[in-house]
Amino acid sequence: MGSTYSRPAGTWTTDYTFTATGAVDITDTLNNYLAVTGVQLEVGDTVTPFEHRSYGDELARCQRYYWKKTNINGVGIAQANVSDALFAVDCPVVMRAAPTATALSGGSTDAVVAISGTPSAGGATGLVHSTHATHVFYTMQCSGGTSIARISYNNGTATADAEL
Amino acid sequence: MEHLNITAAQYHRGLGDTEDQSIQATIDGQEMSVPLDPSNRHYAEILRQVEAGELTIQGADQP
Repeated sequence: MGSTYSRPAGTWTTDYTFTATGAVDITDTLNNYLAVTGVQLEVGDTVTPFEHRSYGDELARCQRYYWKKTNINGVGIAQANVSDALFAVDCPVVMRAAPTATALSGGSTDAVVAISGTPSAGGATGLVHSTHATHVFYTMQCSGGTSIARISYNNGTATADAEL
Repeated sequence: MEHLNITAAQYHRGLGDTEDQSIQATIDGQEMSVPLDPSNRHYAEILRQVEAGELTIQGADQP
């Protein structure tokens, strides 16, 4: 703006003045921006004290409706072609309702180790068995043998959605 | 309620289960496991589409 139309802040003037001395011109450079913080929406017409929520508090409130986890690891015991091995992944917080979940992805399955009987091969692994507000059960299966086997799932990624 | 494009739905039970545990559904092109919980929006929408004659839930595969 320059000095022609600016005066020190807090002073009265009788001529044409548009800004305080030293004020920043937000329009002088492309991509300048104005940051606004501390806004709180209210329901109704009554103003309530501002709520300062921590990052962790806000995250927990969001996770009541949705979460995504990575590096999920699980291990279970299954009998080939007879039973699933289940392992549970705890929800970070109690969710609003039982969530819709996706199967584990992006991970790997350890070799099946036979405990008894003939060796078996890994079957469908990482599928969702059931979901609950507090945890999600994932299944692991083995097939092709008669054994009771240990199956591991490593570094999977999954999501759970209980949004309205 | 947003419209969900549900192109397949089948009850799911694991090996050894005697009751259905969830519904495996393709929703907006993605495979998902939907709990049998009326508070879940996907399950509520599946029930609505079934009621409207727009969707059929297949029975679970028998292990």
